[in-house]
Amino acid sequence: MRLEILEKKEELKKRAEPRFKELKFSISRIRKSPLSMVGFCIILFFVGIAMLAPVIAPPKYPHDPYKIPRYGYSTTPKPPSWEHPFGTTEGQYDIFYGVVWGTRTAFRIGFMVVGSILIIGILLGSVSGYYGGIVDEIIMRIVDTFMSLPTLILAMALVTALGRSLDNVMIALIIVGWPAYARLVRGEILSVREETYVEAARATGVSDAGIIFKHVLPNAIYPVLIMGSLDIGAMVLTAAALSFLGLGAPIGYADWGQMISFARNWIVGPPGKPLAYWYTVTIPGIFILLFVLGWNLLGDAFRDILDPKMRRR
Amino acid sequence: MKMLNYIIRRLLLIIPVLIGVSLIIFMLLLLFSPEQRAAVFVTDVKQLRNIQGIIAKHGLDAPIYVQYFRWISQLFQGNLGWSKTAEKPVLEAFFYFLPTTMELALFSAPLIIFIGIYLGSLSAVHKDKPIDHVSRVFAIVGWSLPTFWLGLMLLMIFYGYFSGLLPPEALGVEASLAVKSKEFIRFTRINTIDALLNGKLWIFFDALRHLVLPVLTLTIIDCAMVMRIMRSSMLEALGKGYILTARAKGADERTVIKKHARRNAMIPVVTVSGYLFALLMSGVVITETIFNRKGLGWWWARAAIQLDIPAVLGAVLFNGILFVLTNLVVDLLYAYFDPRVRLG
Amino acid sequence: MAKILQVEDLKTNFYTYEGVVKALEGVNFKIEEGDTLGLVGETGCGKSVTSLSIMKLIVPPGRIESGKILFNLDKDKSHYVDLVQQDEPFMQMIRGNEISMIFQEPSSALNPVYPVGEQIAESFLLHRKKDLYEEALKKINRQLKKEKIFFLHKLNFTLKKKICELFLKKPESFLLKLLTFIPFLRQDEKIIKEIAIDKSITLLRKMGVPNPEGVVHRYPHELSGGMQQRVVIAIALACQPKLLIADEPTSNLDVTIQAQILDLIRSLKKTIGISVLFISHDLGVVAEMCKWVAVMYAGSICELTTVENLFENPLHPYTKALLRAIPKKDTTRLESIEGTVPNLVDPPSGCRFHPRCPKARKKCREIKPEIEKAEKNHLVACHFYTEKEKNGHLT
Repeated sequence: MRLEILEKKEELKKRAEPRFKELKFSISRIRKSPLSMVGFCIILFFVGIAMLAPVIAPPKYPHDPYKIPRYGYSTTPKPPSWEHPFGTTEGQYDIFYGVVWGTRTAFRIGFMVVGSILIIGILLGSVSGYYGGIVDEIIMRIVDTFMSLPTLILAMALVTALGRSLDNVMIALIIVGWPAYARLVRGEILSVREETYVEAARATGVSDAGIIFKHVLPNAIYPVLIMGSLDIGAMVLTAAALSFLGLGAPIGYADWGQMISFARNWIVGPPGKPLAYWYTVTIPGIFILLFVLGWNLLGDAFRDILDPKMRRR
Repeated sequence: MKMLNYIIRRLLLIIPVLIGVSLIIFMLLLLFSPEQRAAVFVTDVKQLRNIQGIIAKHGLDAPIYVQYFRWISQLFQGNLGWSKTAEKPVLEAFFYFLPTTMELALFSAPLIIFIGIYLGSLSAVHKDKPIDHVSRVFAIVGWSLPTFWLGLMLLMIFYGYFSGLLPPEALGVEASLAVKSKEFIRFTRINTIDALLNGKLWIFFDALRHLVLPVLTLTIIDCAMVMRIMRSSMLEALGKGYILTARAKGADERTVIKKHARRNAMIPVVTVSGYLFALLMSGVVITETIFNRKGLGWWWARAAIQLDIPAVLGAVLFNGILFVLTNLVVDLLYAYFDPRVRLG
Repeated sequence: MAKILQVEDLKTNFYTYEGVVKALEGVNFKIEEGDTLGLVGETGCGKSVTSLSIMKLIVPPGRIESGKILFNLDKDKSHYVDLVQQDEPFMQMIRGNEISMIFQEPSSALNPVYPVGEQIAESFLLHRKKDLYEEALKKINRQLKKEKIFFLHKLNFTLKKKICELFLKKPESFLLKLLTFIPFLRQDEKIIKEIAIDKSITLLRKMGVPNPEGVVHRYPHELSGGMQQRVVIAIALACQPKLLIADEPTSNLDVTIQAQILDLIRSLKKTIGISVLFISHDLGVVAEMCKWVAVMYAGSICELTTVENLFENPLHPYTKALLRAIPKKDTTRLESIEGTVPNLVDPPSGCRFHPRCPKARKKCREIKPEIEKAEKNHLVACHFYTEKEKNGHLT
């Protein structure tokens, strides 16, 4: 009895060994590439801020923590001080509070939008790629149509139609975003379908569903994941742009783009002190930049690591 | 003959996409109430006083497919509605705002393409050396920058800190007065070109000065994307067999890179140009808003905020058509660059 | 007869993540003028690395560590240059001009965006510029002598003539470089290219290609595999090099096309008198094409002799095993060699074949055998023979 268990353990170890070796290699690749490490750290940093938001910036309105507290009604922004570590904007909204809770907003936008378009895109793309025929044609024409319109402009039109709010911004981005993934997944499925190893699997008697799940999807999923992580940043950027233009989050909401819209009138200070109100623009902007940068670096790192042909460089 | 077939085939493929775009716009249209939609059907502001009359006249409460065909027929007559933010019919407003945007695009597009291709190629050839690392950092930071933030920061520094060195708006005060005067002949309504054609160099330089920051804002972000693509496609090209053949022929490294690798590496960049254009349009909306340049983007941003529905829908329509045409040109360029495509 | 190429103790390494791959561990062979040397061995034994090393086309993470590659530059007297010591500009003069190479996969060897004629013409443009300019001048002068000549054409031709003369006098002229920046002024480049393409057409015709005028304007993907390989050969032989390195030129072609290409190479050898280093894993092809053959294993040559000797009297245990493994008419079971090709990061000590050698002794594990003369025209790298030669028996 013990001998059998030992033998099984040996067998498992033998099978797992090459996978462990590859995993170790992946981790070593991440560690060797300084940019990947930077991206990873940046995202960790933001995750920390988002999770600790209630602690580092206690909400003034407990039922609505995303409402930035106001400390007065004066239009002139106040510079950083002990009470307001990052200063206040026009209308006396606390910038520190805004950027901390804005982190949560950013994660919400990024994950919800990208998560949804991943699901919709993978579903429609798989159906399109697998069944082909008229279904494929229809879906692809829809995809083509959506992809012929710039993201921001179509999102603007949708938000105008649906009404101004952050939720509508997310809906608009989801509607605008899924076609790219559908096309990508469909393309991957079509190319993997023709690969010799799929033919070989079919020849050894694997069922259609088995082929899809064991062979097609695992190979098709990598580009999708890479694009997804890059898109988290892109979606946050577009949402911020919409909020900046006044089409997204309502005034006083903790959203980075919305906070920068406050700064539009204050980019040039009084004569003699032209950079007087730098904090209204620079601070929320740096948060956006770092957030997007982190996800872009991670996405690049995933691409370099997961692409089997690039690995052994 | 092969090229002609190819062109005709591509033209035919455009039609379903255009139909699709019109459907999307129409569906957006339907999201609004009949009262709001009224503005899409008139070309004169006075007509808006009689909204009920318009609704009755154009059957805005008729069944959907009827409305769709009514609307399409309107479209083909050139009637896209009345824009309240522009105070003009939409089609007229479009041509009014176009030159300013074209000026921006004219200066940005070549920079984006040439700098992007050059830096990307340089980066690939000197892979893992300092220049590569610097370029890659520049590219990835550039790609992560929010356009509006970059514009504001640039304004803060070069307009605020350096007191008015590189200002927003399209022209300075004197120059704007000068171009409105009777002696200044408008050929293209593009400030820089008209200034040259009128022989007024000071206006030309003034316009140029006002162009620096917006062009910089637009260029950095798109350039970063072109750079990344060029780098990766160049790396791929450099690994191919014909590079070894070229070296084995005794070609010097410069010829290998320029003549053999780069020509092949540019093909993926060409295919991506369509997407690049869409990115440019999105950037234009924000850039013109920030720098207060009264072009298409500025108009559309205001229209979205003020719920100027005909203008917003016009924006979608215009972009759809332009994108489709751009893609056609891109496909033709692609066939020129890659002979393998011409047969299929 | 003089030697055209002598490789002495060539060592090449590749520095990779997994370690230092010692690809070439002291390669020794020579090629006499006009001869064909076949280089055989399994995949991964270092045949391609050898050819790339000779052309000095090894790029990082690879590097030629040590050794000599002596090449005879002069046809009449013996003027040997050690290629290992030469710099890149010198090698660029050598490549495609004195030593040429043809490859295994012709479709990937050709650039897909240029017509094949231009790719052949490039060889002429790189190494025979002076000849091209002289011919161009003759052509222009002929045109100028014509009775009726349109004014603009005359202007065009005179411009071309002037530039050609300037080039022939002073190729490095600053004026020429300046003119390159002004569009349309370097008309000489047009006429040079025309002449180079004409020469390519002539070359293809000599090689027996039908309709060379049409072929020259085709793109690589429009040609068949055999035709593509002919183009690759034309590129290599355009400047009539002294040595041709053929790296498995027929391995990816159908057998019938293979025969045609081999015939072509044989006939070109006769007409131009070129020396060939023929790399292959196919002993049959080597037997047909080559006078001499070198058997390579794991980074060094283990046997070097004439083709007849190899088949009649193989000495090295590896060669013997290889020949045994060739299926013959009455073979019922395929014979294989025990063991696997060694890992070149951590190769076996001493003789690299010793783990798989039936005759291996203690000495084989410890000391690497040098390639030495065992019999007439027959060199072997094996202790069994060299010792026997010296002492008459093996310790």
